[in-house]
Amino acid sequence: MVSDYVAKGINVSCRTIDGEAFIFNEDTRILMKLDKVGSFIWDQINGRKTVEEILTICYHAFTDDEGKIREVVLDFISDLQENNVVVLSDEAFEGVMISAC
Amino acid sequence: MPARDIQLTEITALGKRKTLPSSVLVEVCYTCNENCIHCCLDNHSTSGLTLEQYSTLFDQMVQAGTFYVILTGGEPFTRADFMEIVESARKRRLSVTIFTNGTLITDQQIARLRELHIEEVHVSIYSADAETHDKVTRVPGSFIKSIRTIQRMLDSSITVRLKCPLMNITADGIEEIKKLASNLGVNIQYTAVITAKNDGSCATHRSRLTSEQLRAIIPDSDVFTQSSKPIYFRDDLDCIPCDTVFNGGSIDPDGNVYVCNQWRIVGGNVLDEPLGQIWKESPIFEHLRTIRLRDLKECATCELFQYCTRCPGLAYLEDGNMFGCSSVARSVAEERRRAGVYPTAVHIFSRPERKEERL
Repeated sequence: MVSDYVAKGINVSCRTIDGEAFIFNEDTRILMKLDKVGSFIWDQINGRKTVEEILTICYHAFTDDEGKIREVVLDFISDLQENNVVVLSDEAFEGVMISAC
Repeated sequence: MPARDIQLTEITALGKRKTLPSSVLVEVCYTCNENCIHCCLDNHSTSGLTLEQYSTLFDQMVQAGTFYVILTGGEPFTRADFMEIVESARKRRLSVTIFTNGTLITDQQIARLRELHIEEVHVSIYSADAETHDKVTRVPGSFIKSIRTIQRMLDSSITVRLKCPLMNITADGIEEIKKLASNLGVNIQYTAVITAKNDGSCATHRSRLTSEQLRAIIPDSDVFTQSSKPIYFRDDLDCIPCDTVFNGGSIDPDGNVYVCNQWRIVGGNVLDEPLGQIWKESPIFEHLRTIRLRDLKECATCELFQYCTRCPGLAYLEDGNMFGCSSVARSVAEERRRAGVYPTAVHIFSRPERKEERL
């Protein structure tokens, strides 16, 4: 998983406002609001970064020990995947799959 | 997961609190292949900004905090590059709704709309009777084309809603259009007020419901959402006449920015400065945000106030005074009072922001 690229799903509409991300799944019509930490991770997801690269960014952004950060980030991305709001691939995403938000 | 499920209304409430253009209507052209008798457009020649300019605009929307974008025209599918505009908006994860007459959409475009996870497509249907519908559009065969497109979109699992402005020549067929919607399995969005043209011309008023028709329709809760008790706060003179001045936004095909496409006051142009800057800093928009019920002297003391859903844009466009009475809102309010029904809480005359209401 950590070597995979991760992208926001095309089924998602989202916006980050004042550091809080709002994510709407157009299929399930469920709107989620992430907390500040979740929103920070969400904003790193753009189809051009691997999970490992996001982990590295989080190590620098947060003061917790790396083991704890790794656990939180991987659990979070797994949850996003289970909720069908992100997709993982062994290749970077191009075109409309790339998120600009 | 550090997340919680919330209601979509929180997005617009946040926009109202922080003055963000949360939901923006974008007119991508004024060109149209129909010629509807009630159309508010005073010209059909403006072809809209370029695809590149729309992509820049969508970037501006992301920066400004926009969540929803409504793409409309004219008829947006008269643009050969319309699907690329849709793709550009979805690439930025804007939630996209499309207003269309449905007559020009191809199977290939429907498949792409599904892939892009469009929020909804609203299709204008004026009557369940083909002849009556075509009398409105003044294009023979338009009804059957629109209905076929609706069916094809539904077959592709696209959410469709019928847009149904009520007119004097269509009012007798409301039950039939309800049956049509039911058979299709879609919802209807009715409009009871045919507005003046954007240049203020009232030629379109010839299509409006007669007072007798309006009286007959007002009690129909399928058409008018209504309450048995008043929801407004007559004692609160800080009521906001319309929320759209805080969380709306409308952009015409030349890039001019309005708070709403019915409130024809330009705050700026997105080709000159970013949407977010116009939205927050336009002096005229800032002024509109200061208006409260206390400034609407007629409304604050009007016996019909609790029945009224006055649009300040229409008061300005049709009656020439954004602080004054809207004659069409008054006529609807009179019929509501006669029927003993009240409007439900909407963005009109909304409660001002209170600390205890914050997230």
